[in-house]
Amino acid sequence: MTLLIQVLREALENIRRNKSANILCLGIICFTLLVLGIFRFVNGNLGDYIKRHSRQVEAVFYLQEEAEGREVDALLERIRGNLLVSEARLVTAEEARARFNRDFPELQHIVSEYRESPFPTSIEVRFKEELRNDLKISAFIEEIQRGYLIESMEVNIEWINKLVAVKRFVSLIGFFLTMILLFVSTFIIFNVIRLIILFRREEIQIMQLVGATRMYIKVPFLIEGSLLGFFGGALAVIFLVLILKAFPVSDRFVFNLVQEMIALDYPIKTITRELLLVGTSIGLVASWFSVDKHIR
Amino acid sequence: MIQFFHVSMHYLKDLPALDDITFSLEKGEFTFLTGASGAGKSTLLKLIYRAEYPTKGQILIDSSNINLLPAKKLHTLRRKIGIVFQDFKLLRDRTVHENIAIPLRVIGEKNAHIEKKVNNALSIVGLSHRKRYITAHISGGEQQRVAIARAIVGNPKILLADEPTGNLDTELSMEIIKIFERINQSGVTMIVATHDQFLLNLFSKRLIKLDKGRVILDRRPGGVS
Repeated sequence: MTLLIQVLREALENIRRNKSANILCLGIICFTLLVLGIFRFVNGNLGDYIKRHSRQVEAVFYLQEEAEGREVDALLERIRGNLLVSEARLVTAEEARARFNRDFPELQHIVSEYRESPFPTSIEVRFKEELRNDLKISAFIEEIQRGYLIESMEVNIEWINKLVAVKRFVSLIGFFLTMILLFVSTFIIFNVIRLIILFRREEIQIMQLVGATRMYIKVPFLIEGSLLGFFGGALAVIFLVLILKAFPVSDRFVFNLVQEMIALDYPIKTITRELLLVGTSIGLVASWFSVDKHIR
Repeated sequence: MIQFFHVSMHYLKDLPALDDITFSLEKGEFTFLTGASGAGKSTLLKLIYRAEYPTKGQILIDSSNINLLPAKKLHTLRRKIGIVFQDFKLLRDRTVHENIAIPLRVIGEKNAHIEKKVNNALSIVGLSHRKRYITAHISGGEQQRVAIARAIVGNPKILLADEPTGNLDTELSMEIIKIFERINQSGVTMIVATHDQFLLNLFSKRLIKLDKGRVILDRRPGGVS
């Protein structure tokens, strides 16, 4: 226990002694993790947005006038039996008229002129939430559409597909940018620890000569690297929250989608955990490599 | 306590720093190691605390063959040995107390024990009044005594001193050797490397003389072997 406290004290003392190098290091880690955090946040919100709106993906198959009840029931059962479908409902022509009258009361007079409903009978299909593979849905829709009972159809999957593509693009850019910045941060921590080792070469040599174990000498540097990463992550979280708080000031100028992407919906706790974990990990890994290379 | 069996050490292929050295030191023995510059004194001491590795031969410390000691276990050997360097190897920006405490800190001693042992070591070398001084602010003789205090604070079985009086005047040199004698009386095996003929004549101790890496004289007090 005494040894552990001494090692911790040693690590904190190292940070205090090498302020300038450590501040530089902290700044770079913070910047890297801030970029990661922003991408993670935008991506997370976009993902949530897509997930939320995916629930509303539906297809409407309008049936031929001459379609018979038995055939329609069979088609309905077939659609319901598909694994992609969460719900399929038959909307009769009269139901469609009633819905129109309810939704557009000011236009009631147009349809009231008809004795029979001018709307075709249709089957409304909702798809399961976890749908991601739009190819399967498209194939399913095509297959149903080919049936002779179907007059026409409508599907609102296109814009969801576009959003998924945007999300993939944001993820890709975020991934590459973060990878580059993580590499830079690791390289800088590696070199800061190397400089500190060189700066303390004499002390390390003395400790080795008086019987310090390898771990006793190495662990303070590893703790130092990890602490730098951890504090870099904590600073990045603070800046991220400040940026997100400041951004809605301009919400008059951004359209809804952007607002949804930057809304504080995505759990900041998750990102905090991730940034602290990534920061601590790169600090530990970089200092481990540095210590392993420079302390023999 | 220390046994060398046909030990050779080459820095360069055809130029031995030590050549076929064989000797043994009993527990509690005080030995001067002498010879001209480049005779191999420092190399011999480095082999004992394994800062160097012999090209040939075996070295036993406290009955253990240190050639077989894995690098990760080196600290177990170093904790048995106190070393006093000619250039002191002190951290000049730390206090006297902090320097002396290093061997105790690395083994995880509690602060109360550190305080007690550092005070004891300081009183042995007569430097209690300089405890809180920054090491850079004390004289060369005092720094040498700090180095000795650091070497003895962990109660080592062996004390090695490499030219401990090299930078000191005669009076201070005698004082340092007297401190070593007091430490030796507590049972510590000592090797002091020096080329100071005055000290060698003044203190009647075992003498091992090296020349070009070979032992040319091994004289015990009162006789020649």
